[in-house]
Amino acid sequence: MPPDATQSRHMPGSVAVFGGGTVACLTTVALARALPRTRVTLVTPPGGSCNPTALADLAHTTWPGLARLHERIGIAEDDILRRASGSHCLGLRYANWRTDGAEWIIGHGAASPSGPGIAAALARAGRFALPDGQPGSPLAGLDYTLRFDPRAYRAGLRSIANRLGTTMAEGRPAAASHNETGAITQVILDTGAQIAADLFIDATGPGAGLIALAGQPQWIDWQDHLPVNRLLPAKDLARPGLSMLDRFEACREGWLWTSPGRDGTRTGLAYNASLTSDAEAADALLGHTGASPGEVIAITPGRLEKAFTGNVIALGDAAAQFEPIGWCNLHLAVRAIELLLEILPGLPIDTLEQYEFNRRWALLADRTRDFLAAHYTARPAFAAPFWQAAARLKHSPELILTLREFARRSRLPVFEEESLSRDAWLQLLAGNGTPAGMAPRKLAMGHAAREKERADEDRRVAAALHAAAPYPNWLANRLGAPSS
Amino acid sequence: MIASQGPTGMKPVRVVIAGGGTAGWMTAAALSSQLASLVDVHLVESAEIGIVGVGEATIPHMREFLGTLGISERAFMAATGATYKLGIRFEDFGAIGECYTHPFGSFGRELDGLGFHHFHLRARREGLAAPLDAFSLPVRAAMLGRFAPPAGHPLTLEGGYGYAYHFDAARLAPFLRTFAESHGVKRTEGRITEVQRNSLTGDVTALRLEDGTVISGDLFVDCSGFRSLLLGETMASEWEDWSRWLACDRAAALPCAAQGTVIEPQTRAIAMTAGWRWRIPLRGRVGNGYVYSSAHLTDDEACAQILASAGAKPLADPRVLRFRAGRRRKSWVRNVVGIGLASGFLEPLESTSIYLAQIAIARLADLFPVNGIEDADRDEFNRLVDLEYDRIRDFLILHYHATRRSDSPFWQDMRAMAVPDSLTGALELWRRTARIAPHAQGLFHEPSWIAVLLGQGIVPEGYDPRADIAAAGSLERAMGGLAKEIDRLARAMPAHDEVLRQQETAHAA
Ligand SMILES: Cc1cc2nc3c(=O)[nH]c(=O)nc-3n(C[C@H](O)[C@H](O)[C@H](O)COP(=O)(O)OP(=O)(O)OC[C@H]3O[C@@H](n4cnc5c(N)ncnc54)[C@H](O)[C@@H]3O)c2cc1C
Repeated sequence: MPPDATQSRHMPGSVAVFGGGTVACLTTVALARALPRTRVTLVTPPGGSCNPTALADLAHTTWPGLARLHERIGIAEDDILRRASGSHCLGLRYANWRTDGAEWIIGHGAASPSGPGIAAALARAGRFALPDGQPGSPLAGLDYTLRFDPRAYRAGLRSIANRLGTTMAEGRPAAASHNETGAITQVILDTGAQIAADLFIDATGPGAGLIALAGQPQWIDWQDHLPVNRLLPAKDLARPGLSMLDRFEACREGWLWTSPGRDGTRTGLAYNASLTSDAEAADALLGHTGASPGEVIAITPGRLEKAFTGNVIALGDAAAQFEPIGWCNLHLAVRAIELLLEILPGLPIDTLEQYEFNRRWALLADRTRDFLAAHYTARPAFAAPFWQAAARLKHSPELILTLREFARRSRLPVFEEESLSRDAWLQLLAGNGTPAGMAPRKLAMGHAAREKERADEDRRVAAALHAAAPYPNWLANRLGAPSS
Repeated sequence: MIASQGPTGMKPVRVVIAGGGTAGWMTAAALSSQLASLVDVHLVESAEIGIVGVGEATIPHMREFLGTLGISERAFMAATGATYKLGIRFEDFGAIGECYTHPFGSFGRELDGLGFHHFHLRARREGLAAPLDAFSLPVRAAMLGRFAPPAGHPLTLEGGYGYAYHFDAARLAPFLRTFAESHGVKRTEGRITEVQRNSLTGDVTALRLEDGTVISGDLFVDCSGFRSLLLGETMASEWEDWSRWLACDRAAALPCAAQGTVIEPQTRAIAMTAGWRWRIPLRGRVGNGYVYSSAHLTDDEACAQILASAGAKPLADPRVLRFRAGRRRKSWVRNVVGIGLASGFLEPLESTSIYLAQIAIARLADLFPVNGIEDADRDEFNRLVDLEYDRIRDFLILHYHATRRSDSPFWQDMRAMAVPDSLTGALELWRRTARIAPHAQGLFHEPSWIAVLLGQGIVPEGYDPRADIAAAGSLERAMGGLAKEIDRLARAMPAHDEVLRQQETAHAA
């Protein structure tokens, strides 16, 4: 063996996370767990508030990947159920997107080769059961995600961070000092306080107040890919509900979201400001849902060219902004935190490692964008400027290939990084009416074999329904049980 | 639109396969069984020309191939005289006297999401750990001559590895032929002397044989071997030459009698002065061959050296095969798809050739042009095939380049060569951070790269700082415990030749 020159790279002695929302708090907990010897500081805006325009922080739900991160960084589902008004969600329901008016569902977990899949069937019936890992179980491919009250959820994360010894500070980044390599050595807050660290996380939301101090970050514009640039959430939460589907309904101005939860039901309108004025949007929201309008949120769809610049890593809306179908905003942030945990930069920061982070994050972000863009291949029955514009949106080469392969033979090409699951993609494309060809192997199976496949699936669904309980009862039971 | 109609009433696509070697019959077997009534498969082969007849070692994907065809392992092994393979033992590559195994499985266990090799690098620096080999069950088992198939969850030690086969290269094609013919494949014996084309489109319309027989079809699969009759000669698909990185262009193959009863469940690859030699243990014989660079060694010297080093009774004279590393720029041109040696060649250092045929067949079945070929089908197929070739290419080059040998002009050249940018990037990332960039498609993932990189002495300058968090004592205990557990599991496995003997007895009964 050659002489052994191996060294561990230096652990960052200190990390400062900026931001007051979910993304900042999740990242803080993740880093505090992964780096027990590192001093982690969470710097929130005054009063611990969260940027009210950061969608990843506003998200009250996202895709099932969040549970994986929770498990990894020691966040108990039980705590979310009990302390953050948590409830379970089995998928997304889409209404009015298609010319024929048919609804469709993206259920979490495995899509079935024919028909709705287990999660969709359970959600429709209002029944719930936990997934069962045993192969052969009708609940084997099932998955779910949580909904929660973001404020309470955040508070929970902060108290975990506290227990892990995180230092708390308040203030907004105002200026920075750099060393000779251009890395930030300390951030000066608007309060005058100074935060020194080896590594900085910018989870401050849109505008990325921190990474801007690290250089001149390039922004890649997605306005040609995604049509929504304004959101109008309802001012108040509507009555609580326990439906296990989030609803996304196309309307003339764009689309409406309705997401029930134990603390109330969230609704709002997504639209394009150049086609619908804020006043018109307020009328539309009232007309469609009866809700009175809250504060308008402007979105600049796009992403940073490099989320990791110098010694600053941007996460959440600081790194990418886009419309919240399925609240993918938090999902992308979760994937980015996982990537950060995988490629946790040692010191000195290695340009190749940084390149790897940026390369993979960009692929994740772009595939997330394409997943959203793929929604707009649906054509609602009504003619409206928003939907006419949506029909002219640009598709990336990867999306073109995806749509083409699906149309030709129900195949999904594999890409180097995938943000949403293949099951979600399959259900989206099948649901939104992308014409679906048949895979050659399946075509060769013959009619009888395909019928048998369908019958087997129906049997599985029936067995799953039987194994599940009405959700309100299930939840009452779970909450009634002594906390585990 | 084909979507709702199903195949009823559709005319099957007439697939003509030119060549009946391993690639030709694999293609015939897979297409006929998986695409059933969508295809009408006709294979042409020439006994006079024969098959290349080498290619005895596989990787675990072979099992998947048999699985999708519904062929049982037992039947396959009995028909082809197969033995089990847990990995490849490389000797003298990094430096003379050094060896390591590239197993079908990873080393150790991840801890808190951090790869085992980071912990091992630390333990190594502190002098706390056994060599990497001790942390892989397939490596331990192979070294002890033992074998058992993985059992249990893939995240456990017992369930977390793969295996493949060594088999008699002359027996696979006939075995698959029986299978394919039972699925309706027609076969014609004869030499192809003319390829007829549509003068307007350039598509191939028919093959004409020496005896005047004309076989027409819609889709032509070129499995004619190195000659690349349709893809290379007729369609003139450009050749992309990789010999500046992979200099070996000859092999002297030598079957030998087996010695003793021990049948190793691994391939051996032993570096020589102008290349390397393989040792593949089969039932009752051992395959040997010297893969060398003709620029550095004459055929006579190569034959003499393989005879001298095989260390067993030769069953025939050494046979010299010629090849070159590279691939056709496009594997699918017009209505011609090249599969197997007809589409390209990467030398057998990691036993990947049959895999490349397998993957091309699977992609062809995925993208099968039921309703006429579109340009985008060809592009997608070619993109996917290229990706596989490129990844394997870089991994093979690594074996030559990552060396400290300077004992011969060949190794001096290998060491000094400029490698492809993709490999330079991967090496640099590893050297500086001990990371391997993951990829979703293609062969050889992190564990394989780690095995070869560390095995050939490319020790990174830095590893992940999280590996330093655990106290030295507990790290040493955990490592020691793991190595012990792996050794215990390996010793509990039956001897490989015993497993094979029992199979034979069961088969005879
Ligand atoms: C030295 C060496 C070692 C190898 N080791 C391995 C290994 O360990 N693992 C591995 O996976 N692979 C290995 N390979 C590769 C492996 O041998 C091939 O991938 C495999 O055998 C497939 O070959 P083929 O079918 O493409 O070509 P061939 O076996 O050459 O078959 C060509 C067919 O085309 C027919 N044909 C050609 N011209 C005409 C014509 N004019 N008319 C009619 N028929 C015609 C021939 O008769 C024959 O049937 C090795 C290759 C070499 C050279």
